[in-house]
Amino acid sequence: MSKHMKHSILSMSLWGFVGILFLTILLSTDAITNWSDNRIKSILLAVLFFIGFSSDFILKSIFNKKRVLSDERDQLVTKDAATSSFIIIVIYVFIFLIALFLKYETTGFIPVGWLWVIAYSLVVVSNTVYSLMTIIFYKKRGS
Amino acid sequence: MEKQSYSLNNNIRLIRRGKADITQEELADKVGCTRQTIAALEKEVYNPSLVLAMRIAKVLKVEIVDLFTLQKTD
Repeated sequence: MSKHMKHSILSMSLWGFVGILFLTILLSTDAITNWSDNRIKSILLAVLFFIGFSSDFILKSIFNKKRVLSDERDQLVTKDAATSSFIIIVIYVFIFLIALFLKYETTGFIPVGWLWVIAYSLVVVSNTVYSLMTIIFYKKRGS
Repeated sequence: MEKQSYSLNNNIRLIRRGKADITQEELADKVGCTRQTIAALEKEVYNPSLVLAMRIAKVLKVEIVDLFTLQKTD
C-alpha cells in the first residue's frame, strides 16, 4: 500500500469521524431551527472543526509531497479524484438545496441554521468524498 | 468507421526478472517512480506515459516494442 493511499484512508477516517459527531450535534432536538440561540452547540461545532482541520494539517505535514515520492500515477489518481469529487459535491449541493426548497416551499422562509449546515457539511463531504475517490482510483490503478 | 478498442500489454515482469534480474524497487528507483507504480504496470492495471515507458525500456535495455504490445479487445 502506497503512502498516498494510507494518507487517504486516514483522512477519510478523520473526516468521517468529524462528520458523525457533526450529525450527532445537528440531529439533537431543534438544533437547526434554534441555531442562533444555541451558543453551546455553535462552540462545540467550532471546536470539532478546529480539531478536524488541525488533525488534517498534521496528516498533510506527515505525508508531505517533499517527503513522500509522488509519480505520474499519483498525479493521475489525484486529478481524477479531484474531478469526480467536484462533480459529486456539485450534485450534493444541488440536491440539498432542492430538498430545502421542497421542504420550506409552503412557509416561504428557511431557518438560517440550514446555511450553517450547508457550510459545515460541505467541509466534511468534500474532504470525505475526495479521500474516498482517491482510494477508489488507487484500487483501480493498483494501490 | 468501426470503432476499435485496444489494450496495452507488457512484458515488464518477464524482462525484469529474467534478462535484467532486478527487483521492482530497484527498477522504480532507476526510472524515478514508486514501487507501487511498477507493480501496477506489471499487473496491467495502469498504462504508463510515453516518457515512463521509454525510461523503463532504457533501464531494462530493450526496445520499447519488445516491452509493450497493443492488442485488440472485443
